[in-house]
Amino acid sequence: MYLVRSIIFILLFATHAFSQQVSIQMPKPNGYVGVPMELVVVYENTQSSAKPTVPEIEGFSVERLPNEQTSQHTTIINGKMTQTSTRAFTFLLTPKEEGVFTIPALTFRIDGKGFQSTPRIITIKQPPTGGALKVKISGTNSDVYLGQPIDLTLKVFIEQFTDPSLRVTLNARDMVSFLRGDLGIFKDALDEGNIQLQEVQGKTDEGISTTFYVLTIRATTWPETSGPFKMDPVSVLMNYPLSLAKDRGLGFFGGESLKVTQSHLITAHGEMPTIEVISPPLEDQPSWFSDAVGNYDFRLVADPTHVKVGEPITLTMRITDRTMGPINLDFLSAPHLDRVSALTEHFRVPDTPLGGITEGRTKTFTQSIRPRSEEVKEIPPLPMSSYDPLKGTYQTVWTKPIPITVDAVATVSASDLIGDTSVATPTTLTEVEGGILANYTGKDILTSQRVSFTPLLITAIAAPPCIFASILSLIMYRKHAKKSLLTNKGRVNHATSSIRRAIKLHGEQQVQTLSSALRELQEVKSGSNVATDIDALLSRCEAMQFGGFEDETLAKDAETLAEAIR
Amino acid sequence: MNLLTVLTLCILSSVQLTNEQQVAVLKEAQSAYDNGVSLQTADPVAAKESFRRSAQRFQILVDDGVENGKLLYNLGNANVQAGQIGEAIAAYRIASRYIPSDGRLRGNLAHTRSLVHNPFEKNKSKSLLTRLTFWHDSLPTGARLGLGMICWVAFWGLLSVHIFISIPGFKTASTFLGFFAIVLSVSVGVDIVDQDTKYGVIATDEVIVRKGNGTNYSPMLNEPIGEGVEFEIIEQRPDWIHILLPNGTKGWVEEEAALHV
Repeated sequence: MYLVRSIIFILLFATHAFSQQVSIQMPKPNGYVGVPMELVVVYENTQSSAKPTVPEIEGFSVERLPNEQTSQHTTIINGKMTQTSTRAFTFLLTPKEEGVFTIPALTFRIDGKGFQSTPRIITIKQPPTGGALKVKISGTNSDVYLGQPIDLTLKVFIEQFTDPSLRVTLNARDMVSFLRGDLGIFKDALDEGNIQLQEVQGKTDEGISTTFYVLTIRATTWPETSGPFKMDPVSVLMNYPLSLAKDRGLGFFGGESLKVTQSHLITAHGEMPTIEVISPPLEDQPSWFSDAVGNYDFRLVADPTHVKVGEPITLTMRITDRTMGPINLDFLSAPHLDRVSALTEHFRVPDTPLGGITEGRTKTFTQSIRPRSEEVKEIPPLPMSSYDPLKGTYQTVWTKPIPITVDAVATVSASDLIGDTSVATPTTLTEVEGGILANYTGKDILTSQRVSFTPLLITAIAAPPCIFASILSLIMYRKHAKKSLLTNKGRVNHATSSIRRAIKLHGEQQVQTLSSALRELQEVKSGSNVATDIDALLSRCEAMQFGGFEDETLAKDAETLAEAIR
Repeated sequence: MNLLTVLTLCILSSVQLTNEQQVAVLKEAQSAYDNGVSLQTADPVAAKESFRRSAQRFQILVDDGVENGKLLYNLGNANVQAGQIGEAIAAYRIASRYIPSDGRLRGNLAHTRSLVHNPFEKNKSKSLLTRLTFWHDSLPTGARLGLGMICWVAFWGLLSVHIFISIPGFKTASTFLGFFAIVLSVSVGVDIVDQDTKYGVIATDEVIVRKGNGTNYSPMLNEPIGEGVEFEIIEQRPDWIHILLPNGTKGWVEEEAALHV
């Protein structure tokens, strides 16, 4: 028995001693100055809550992260349950200088036992510099005229990265995914996917041949003012990877993927090319020119074409760009028709700037003009001038004349107003039909006038007949009560005369008459204070009728009571 | 509150506007209308856009449950200025239910009807019933309801008083009061029941009137009818309306091309 107990105790002790472990995950054999490396110490199934310490290591500064990671696992194999608890502590070893260093064998003591790691040799290099990322912006080579587009190309050169320990090279898409920053004018083009990725051979700043990925983004912009073209600066930032690790995937089938374990932030700025935005020359510039640059078609429609003097004619001007490539008609203005003398001579033309609506390559403007006299027969040809930068000349497109009919209207002269004539002629004012009258204002227009069957309306409709019915019912009730009162009075009179008649009778006949008269009184006066007296007289009647008693005062008493009731 | 937020709320959900928000929308609508008026000479296209914006704001108030004759009149004005003749006539017709005798409304409705291309000649002969019930179209529903209520209360009051005292001419007075009360209440009841169901206006241009309720049916008329043509609704089926045109022609039009008034 003692032997068996001893074996069980030894087995249990042995199992406990076997399950305690300390494992150490050492950093990679390559590192960069200033970039922290992780050293992780894992305590498994330990009882003590003591935390590990790492001594000073030559070439590194050592720092322990404050948090510890704890976990518990339960495993059942062949019906046997095993519980495992772990605590992980992370130390950051930051290389201080370039060179080859050794992390010595580290000893950790826990629950009275000692665990030792193996030494690790680590090579520390200077980290990659900004040479791994370059930005170049190129644009239209020559000067441009105001209104012409400027084509810009942004090229971002990213040095290819290969992890030396895993021997894995990241592809172009992965490298581009680390980019961020303010791309300014190129942001829209990037969002629209107007990009190109390619691989080229080149040299780093140190003259080392290497592969670069080139991200090319093309954008088009239109200058708003003349002078040197200015654009928001383009800054590109990148978390350039320094080392990779394999990351165990989640899910039933597991799998592995790569993750960046070390990276550093590098930046690059793009210098804008010098582009001068110039205005078309003043020489030979038409007076109605409105800074349009390019090649345009000009169409004109007038409506109505039959008006009275002073009435408006709407001119609809359609200006269509006839060039190829991207366009932006936002800055295109309508020709200054108020400067066309052939038009202003016969028409009143406002000089206010026009808005216009852009649709595709066409911009439509409308303007109202008013004929000055009934002698106007047509809208003269109207010009639209644009500067052709290729030919270096102004081009003018003319519309065809539009025939119109203008009727005269009666006018009031100054002499009519002053009244210099001796005989004043009365003026008849006639209201003009048609047209739109002004809007209503005021807060009362927010009051809804819709009529619907509301409970209040239903109550208001039902109330008068209900009131009438109530009054009618009350009157009927009162009439009925009065009639009933009159009937009772008659019956009392009848009973009284019967009693009087009974006084003159004798024997059985008297008793029967009295009894009948008293019963009539009892019906009329039931519930009143005389009912008891009537009941007493009726009892005396019954005593005479059925008991054979003589009661000489009965008839007299009945008459007295009847008189009292009347 | 930001007006854009108010409008977004209205569009996305059926949230009822507060009184403050209604005032803000009304102000915006009138401001857009005034802006349109100021631009009419210099930039008619921009003016139309401004009128369209104004009409949208007025319509928000109507959709919010504010059925007011003057508001609908303003909506009609904005629509007609924006060139939306059908919508304008519809708004004026609904406004006439509340302010039928309003001079401005009558004038603007007549002017807008004159803008309709190829209008139908209306059958001008009036039935005896129409002649007798002229007051039904001339008096607003609210006024008829008020008059009817006065007659109703007076009728019952007269009956009640007559129980107690003899009134000279009681029979004649009570008969007239009772008759007017019933006629006016029927008139108001017809209005309430008939709202949004009896008449309509074509709201888009070139609508084909068909012989049946489907695009496979042949056209009823040689020419399509234009925006602003008014009609009476005979029957409604899914997506289609059976209409009676002013010249007596009957046919079917797609519901989305028409507005109820």
